[in-house]
Amino acid sequence: MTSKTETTTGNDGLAVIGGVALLLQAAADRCLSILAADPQPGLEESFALSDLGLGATFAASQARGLLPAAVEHDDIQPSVSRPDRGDPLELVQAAEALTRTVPIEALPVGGSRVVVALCDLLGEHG
Amino acid sequence: MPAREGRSLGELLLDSDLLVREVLMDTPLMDGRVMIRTWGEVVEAAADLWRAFPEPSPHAGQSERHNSAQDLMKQLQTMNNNLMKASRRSPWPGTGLGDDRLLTVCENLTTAAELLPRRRTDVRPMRPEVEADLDAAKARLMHVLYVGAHGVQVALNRDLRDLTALSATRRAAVPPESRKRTVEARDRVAAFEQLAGSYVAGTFPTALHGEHKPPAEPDRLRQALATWDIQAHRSLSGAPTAGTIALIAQTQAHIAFTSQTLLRAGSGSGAIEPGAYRTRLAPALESAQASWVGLATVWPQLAPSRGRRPGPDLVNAANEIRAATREIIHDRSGLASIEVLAATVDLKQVSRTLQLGLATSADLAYALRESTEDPDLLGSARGVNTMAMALEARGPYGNASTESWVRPVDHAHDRPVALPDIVREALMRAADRAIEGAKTAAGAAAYLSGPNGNDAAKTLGLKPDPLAHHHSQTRALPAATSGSGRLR
Repeated sequence: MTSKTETTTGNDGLAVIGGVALLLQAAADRCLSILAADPQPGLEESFALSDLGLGATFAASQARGLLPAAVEHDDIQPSVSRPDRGDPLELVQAAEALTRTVPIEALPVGGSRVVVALCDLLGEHG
Repeated sequence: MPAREGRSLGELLLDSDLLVREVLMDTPLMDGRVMIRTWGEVVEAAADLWRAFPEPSPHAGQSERHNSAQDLMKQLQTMNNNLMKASRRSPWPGTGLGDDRLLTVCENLTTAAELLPRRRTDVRPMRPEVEADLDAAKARLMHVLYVGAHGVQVALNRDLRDLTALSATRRAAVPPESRKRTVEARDRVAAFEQLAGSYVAGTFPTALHGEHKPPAEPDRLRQALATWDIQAHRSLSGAPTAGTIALIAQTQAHIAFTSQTLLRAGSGSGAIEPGAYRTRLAPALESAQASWVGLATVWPQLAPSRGRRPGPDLVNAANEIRAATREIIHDRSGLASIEVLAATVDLKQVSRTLQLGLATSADLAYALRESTEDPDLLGSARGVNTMAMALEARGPYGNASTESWVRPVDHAHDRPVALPDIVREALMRAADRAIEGAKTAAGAAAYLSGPNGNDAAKTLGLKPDPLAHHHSQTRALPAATSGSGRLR
């Protein structure tokens, strides 16, 4: 592990957590839209998508819980061009990668649980 | 072997690992002196546990690796002793409180060491799976030291920054020794971290794959389903939000997928009567899945970005559903095969548990419909507008309305707004489909609880259904939704 840089602020950490929440919700929504498609994926894939979607929903909920009520979600849109398309796992990976853009101590208190939830989710489905 | 409070050695190590991760993340709020006071004890407890680990069976290449790991731990302990001696000789960090979470890690590691029986591997060779579990425990323990050391180092760095930022007057009041000792402790802990990291780099997380996984608790799924049912009903009987309904629908869909996965395994292994599963239960479960997924796809669109967070009790209950189902259905490589499930789980008992879950789903679907009728239920202005326009466009006159569905100011701020009739009616129809799907699935699953559920298979001389995999993909009933997020 290396020491962090000194230039980031708590606001950067909040922006990251806000972006993580949006990416995770996009991943959860994407899982559901694949499951709702006709034809539906096979049972194994459906269970895996349902599990990933539920896990992403919980992690998104955890992340949103760290944001102060005054934070405007519109101000922290991550650079996801089309969250309604693509692989939901890639969205979760993008959320995890986003947490690495700031030193860990820049994240708000309790951010550890979100990072651990993200790593667990990727470990389970990666 | 379980500890007094019931936790196994693996659970104590995992808890310690999670605690040091939390410590690391929360170091901005921590005092480096408090942490350094407790850190020495953590290392001592870890060294005691390391010594208590049984020695692996001596075979080629193993003893060299074992000796090198033993030496590494001795080095770490020596570094720690030197750091502690230096701390005792100086007024820094002084006496005072220790860090609660690091103290809990100490207790965990001490309890873990007490759990380990002494065993001689020269007379009874260690089985490969036990050896793999031992490697995993060592990797986990070293990871605790590695992450914990980094947390202490970050806290000390922060102390140094605070000291530097003090005004000249206040800095003069701080003993000059403090800064010097803080720098020294930080550098020593950094060296410790690097040494622990050398072990972690070669073992973590690959060694964890060999970690012993205890069998699933037989009652966990039943308890999780019961708790979920109660929490979901409580949430709906209060003042539910769109986010709450979305989570309930998503979790119900997950229960339906879980039920089908396990009941298909039950059918394939002969634990439940395969014919009834294939002809009645599987199609009914697919219909129920589709109707819950339909609701779960639509409701998140109506949850405002700031109001998507359901209550913690509901989230915890849903989380436990996911954990309990994963524990049964997943092995280390992914979805467990029918053979593995049949060998590790009492599928007959699980099928009865699932039958109860399916029976209560219908009641939950009715409760969800009642909540949808509630005029006080609000939805996101943007979501409501999008959905109303889409529904209107599918009507006989298309988007003919000259009035907007929501006020522009509400749309701009995505405020919660009342549901227009066109949206509420569509949601009611979707809830009706969930009720029908849940009722049909509950009816089809009723035979699982009867005395002849599986016994019928034996009486009739039926064999396990070799086509269970294929039939599970058949969609005998029409899906409730016709596409992503569509309402009919």
